[in-house]
Amino acid sequence: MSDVLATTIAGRPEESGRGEIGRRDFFNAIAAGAFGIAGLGALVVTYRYLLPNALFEPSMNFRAGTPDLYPLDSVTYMPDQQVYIVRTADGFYAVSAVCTHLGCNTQWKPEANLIACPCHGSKFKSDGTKVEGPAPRSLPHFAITLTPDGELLVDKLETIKPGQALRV
Amino acid sequence: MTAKKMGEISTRLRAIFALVSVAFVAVLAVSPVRDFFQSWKRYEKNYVSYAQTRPDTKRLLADFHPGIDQIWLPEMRVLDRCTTCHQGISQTSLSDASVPQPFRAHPAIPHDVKKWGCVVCHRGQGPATEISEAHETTLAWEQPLLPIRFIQASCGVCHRADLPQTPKLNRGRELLSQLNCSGCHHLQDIERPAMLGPDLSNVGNKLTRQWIYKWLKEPHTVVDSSGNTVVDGYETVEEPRMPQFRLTDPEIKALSAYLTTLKGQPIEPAKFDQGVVASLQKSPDLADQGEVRFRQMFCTTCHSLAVTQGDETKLIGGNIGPELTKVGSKINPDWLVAWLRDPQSYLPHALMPRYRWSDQDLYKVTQYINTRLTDPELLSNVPPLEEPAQEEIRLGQRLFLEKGCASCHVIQGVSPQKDFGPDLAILGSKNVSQLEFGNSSIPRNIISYIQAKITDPLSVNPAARMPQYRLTPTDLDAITTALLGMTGSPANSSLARLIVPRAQGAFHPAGAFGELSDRYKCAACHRFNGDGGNLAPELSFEGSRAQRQWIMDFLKNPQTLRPTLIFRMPQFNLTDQDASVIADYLGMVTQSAAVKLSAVDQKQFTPQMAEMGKQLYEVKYQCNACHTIGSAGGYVGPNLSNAGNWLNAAWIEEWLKNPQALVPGTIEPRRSLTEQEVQALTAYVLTLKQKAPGSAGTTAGGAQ
Amino acid sequence: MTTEEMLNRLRATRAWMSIFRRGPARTNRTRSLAIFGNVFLHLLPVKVREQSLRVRATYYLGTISFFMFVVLTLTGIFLMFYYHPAAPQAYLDMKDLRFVVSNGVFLRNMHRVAAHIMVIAVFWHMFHVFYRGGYRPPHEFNWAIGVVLLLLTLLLSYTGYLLPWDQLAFWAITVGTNILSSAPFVGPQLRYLLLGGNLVGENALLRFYVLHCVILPLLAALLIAVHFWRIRKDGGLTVGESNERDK
Repeated sequence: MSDVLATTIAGRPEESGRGEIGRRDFFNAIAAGAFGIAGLGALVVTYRYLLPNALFEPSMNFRAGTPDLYPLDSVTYMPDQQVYIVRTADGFYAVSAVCTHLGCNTQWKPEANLIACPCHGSKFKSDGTKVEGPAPRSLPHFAITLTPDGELLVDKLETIKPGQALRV
Repeated sequence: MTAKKMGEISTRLRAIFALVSVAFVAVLAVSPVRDFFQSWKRYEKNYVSYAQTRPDTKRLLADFHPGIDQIWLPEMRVLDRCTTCHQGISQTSLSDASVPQPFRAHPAIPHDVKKWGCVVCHRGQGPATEISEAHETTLAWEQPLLPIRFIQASCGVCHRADLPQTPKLNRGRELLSQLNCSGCHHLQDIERPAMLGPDLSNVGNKLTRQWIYKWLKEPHTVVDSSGNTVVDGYETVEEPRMPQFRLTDPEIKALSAYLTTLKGQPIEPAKFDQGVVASLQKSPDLADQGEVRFRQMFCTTCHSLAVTQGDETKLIGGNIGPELTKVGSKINPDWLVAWLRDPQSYLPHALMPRYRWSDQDLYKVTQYINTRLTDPELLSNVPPLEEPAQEEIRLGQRLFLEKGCASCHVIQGVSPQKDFGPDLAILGSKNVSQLEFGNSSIPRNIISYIQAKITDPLSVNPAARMPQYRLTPTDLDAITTALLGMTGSPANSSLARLIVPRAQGAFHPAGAFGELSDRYKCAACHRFNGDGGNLAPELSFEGSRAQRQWIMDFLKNPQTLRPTLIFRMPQFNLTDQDASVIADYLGMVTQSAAVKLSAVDQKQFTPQMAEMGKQLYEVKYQCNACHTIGSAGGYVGPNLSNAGNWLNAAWIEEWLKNPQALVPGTIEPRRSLTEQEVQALTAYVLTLKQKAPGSAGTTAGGAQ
Repeated sequence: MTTEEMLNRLRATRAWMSIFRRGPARTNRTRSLAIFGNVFLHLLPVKVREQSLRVRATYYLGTISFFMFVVLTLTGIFLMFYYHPAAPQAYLDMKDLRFVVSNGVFLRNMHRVAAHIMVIAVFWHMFHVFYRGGYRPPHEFNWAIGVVLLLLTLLLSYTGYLLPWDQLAFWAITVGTNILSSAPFVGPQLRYLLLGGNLVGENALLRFYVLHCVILPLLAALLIAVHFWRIRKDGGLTVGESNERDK
C-alpha cells in the first residue's frame, strides 16, 4: 500500500528497477527496523513501568506474637491481616478469613464452633473445611513458621495443604 | 515539477525519518540501562556476596528480600527506604565495627529498628534510594540527616520527660529553663515560671542607680570586679540569670533612671529590739558572730560566696539563690532587714524561706552582710550619675518595653509581655525555607541557624533584640539538641499516643503542711513524686523510710547523713509544733506501697540475730566499705551510726532485698540475701543507736 | 478456502459492516468508498504542493507541535497511573517516580521535555505563520483557532506546573493566580474560582489536575482536529505566496 502511495505521489526513480537496493529502500529498512525495535522496547519499558516496585499495603507476611498468646483450642481473628490463628492439640495453623465464594470477611462464631460468612451464609469448620455453600472450596491454609526469637510468622503468599500444623 | 525532483524530496524525508527513528531507539535505551545500574541494586548485590562470607549466611539470606525494602508509617507520614541499602540494620550478628557500611547493624536501642525505620530519628530523605539524595540536603528535600551529635533531639520529640540515656538533651532543656528562655519564647514543655526576673515595682528602694547602671552594662561580671568571667560567668555552677543586652550608654542611663524612680511601697527603717542592739553594738566581733550564724544556718546551701584559695577564686555554695559575695555594696540595709524577715512580701514568688529570726540573729547576720560582703571598688568604674531627668525617665520607660524587659520583670502598672520573641515550640520541624538567614554566610541548615542565632543574634538578623549569651560549645550543642527536639504538638491522635509527657503540675499539698511547705519551700530542694528540686534527697517515701521521732529531731537540728555533701539543710528554727506537723505529713502521706510497716514486729529481732547480722555486715558483705558506723567505714553511703533510731525495720528489710525497687537508680548494690540474712542484718542495723530518741541535741552533725 | 476468501467472508459479516460501513472492496465503487471513508487519508489535503514539503517551507513546526501533543498525552496517561492529586501525597508520588518506579524518571522527563518543546514549537509555528502572512484570507479562521491553541498550550503548561506540589509549583501558581486577580472587576472572583479557595491548597491541586488531564487536553484535541481540517478546506498551506515573494 505504501509503495502504491509513494508511486502515486513521487513516481518511481529509475535506479530501483535494477535489482539492487536503492538508497530509499535502504532508509526504509533502517527506519522500519529502528521503529520496530523502539516499538517493542517501548512495550517492555511500559510493562516494567506499570509493574510496581514498592507496595503501600500491609506486608503479606506478618508476625503474630509468641505462641503463648493463644490458648489451646482457640480461634483468634487477626483483623488487620484477615487470618485466623488456630491452635489445637496438634499445633498451630493459619486459616484465611476471606470467604472463597466472593471474598467477604468471614466471622468466627464460637457458640456454633463455626466460621460463618455474613454475605451469603457459607459455613466452615475451624480448620477451614467447607460445611455449607455457596462457597466452592474450603478456606486455604497459609504457611506458618516460628522465627528465631520465638514468634509466629505467617506468610500469606504461600498456601499449604491443610493438616500441616506447626508444633511448638 | 519533475518526478525526479519529487523523488529527491521524498528520499530526503525518508533519510530524516530513518535518522529520527534510530535516535529514538537510542534515547529509549537510556532508561532501561540507567534502571539496571541503580546504586541500590549494586548494594543489594554486594550485601548478598558479603553475607556469603559470614558464618551465618543462611540466616542472613533468609532475611534478605531483593527489591525495594520500605517501612511505611502512614500515620506518621513516614516513608523509609533506608533498609534497601542498610540491609543488616537489625542483624545482631553484623553489629561489629568491622562490618562495612551500609550493612552494619544499628547499635542496640529500646526501639525496634525494623518497625520504626531510620528517618523518624535520623531525618534525611526516606523515600530516596540514592546516596546523596537520602543523606544530604538537596533542592528537593530540606531535612538532611541529623548529625549524630544532635541525635538525642529525636528522642525528645516523643520523650518529653527526661531520660537517663539522653544527658545532652536533658542538659539543653535545663539550660533553656535556667537561662529563662521561656521569658520571651514559647517553648515546648518548658513552662513559663510564675517569676522569671525579680519584680521591679519597688526596685528603687532596694538598689542605687549606680548599681543598676553597672548591672545593665555587664550583668555577667558584676561579682568579679577584675572582670574575670571565669569566676562569675558561665563556668561556675550558677547560670547567669540576666543575660547581657546590647544597650548603648544613653540607653543604660535612661533605664537606670527609670528604674530608680520605682518606689511603690516605701521601706521603713529597720526596727530591732533596742536592748538587743545595745547589747550587741559594742561587741567588737559582731561581724564575726554574724558570719558564724550565717554559716550555721547553711545559707550557702542556696547562696554562693567567692572564696579565694591561693591564686584561684571560686564560687562555693548553692545556686538556688543569687550569689552574695558583694551584696553588701549592692542593697539598701533597711531593705535587707525587711527582706530577711519576709521575702514574699517583696517578691511573692521568691524561693527564699521565711525563717523564724530572733532579733539577735537577724542583727548579727545583717551586720555581717553589710560590713563583710562588700567591695568598695564595685562601682568605681560607673560614671557619675545625676538625679534622673524627666526625659531620661520617659526614655527608660519606653526602652523597658522595647527591649522586652517586661517579658521577665514585673512592674506594677506595666502590662507583661508574653511571647516577646518568636515561638520556638516548633523550631525543630522547620524547613530551611522557613528560616531567615539574613546576609550571613553560614551554611543554610537549621543547626547552623540555631547556633548562629544563639552565639551572635545580629549575624542573622541585624535588628535582633535577643540578648547576648555566652555558652561553652558543649552547652551550645546541648541547647541546639533540645531545640531540635521541639517539633510542636503531634499532628494527629495516633501520634499523640506516642508522646511520653513531662510530669506537670507542681507539688502543692494542702492543709497545715501545705502552709509550712510554702513557707519553707521544701520543694525547692526536695523532690516529691517527681516534682521539685534535685538538691536534696527525694522524699516521696520518707514516711516509709524514717521513724517519726527521727524526722522531728532532724528538722529541728538538721545534720547531714552524708559527710561528703557540701549542701546541708538550712536550720529553719522550727517550733515543735511545726516539726510535728511535717513529721506527721511525711509519715502518713509519703508512703511506699512496697513497705508494710506493720508487717514487721520489732520484738522478733533477738540479740543472737543481731550478732549474726554484725558478722554479715563486717565480714561476709563488707558493708563498711561504703557505710560508716562510729568513726570507721566508707563515705559512699550514709552514715549508719544512728540507723536504729533513723530507719524503719520494714524499710530496712525491703531495702536489703531490692534497693532499686524502692529508690530507682540508687547505687546500693542488690545482693541475693537469704531471708535469714535479711532478718539478721535488719536486727543488727536496728541496734545501732547513738543516743536516746527525742534528745534533739547540740552535738555536732557528722557523728549522727 | 484461501485467505482472500476468508477475508472477503469476514468483510461481508454484519459486525464488519457495522464498523466500516462498506462491504469488500471488489467494485470500483467500494474501492473509492474505502479511500473516501478513511479518515487518515484525509488528514492531509488532496493536493500537496512541492514547496510545502520543503523543510524550509514550514520547518514542520505544526507537525512537531502535534507530535509533542501525542507524546505528552501518552506519557501523561502513564504518569497518571502513579499520581494522586492530593497534598502532600502528590510530592511523595514524584519521589516514587524518581526513586522507585522503573523508568519513572524517563517518563517524567520525557513529559517535561516534550512540554517545553511543544511550547517553543507552538510559538515558533505562530511567528512563522505570521511572518508568512498566514493570517490573511482565506486562512483567518484557522489563524484564530491557532491563537486559541496557543492559549491552550500555555494553560496546559501552567496547570501542569502545580502538579508536582513542590515549592516551585506552589509559588508559581500563587504568583500566577495573583496576576489573574488583578484583572478588572472579575479578577478576584476568577482566582477564587480557579483555586477553589483563597490559597493554593488541596482544592487548587485537584482543580488544576482536572484541567490539566481532562478539560484542556480534550479541548486541545478538538481544536487540533478543526485546525487540520481547516488547512485542507482552506486549500493547503500558505507557503505558496511567500515562495513566490522569495523569487
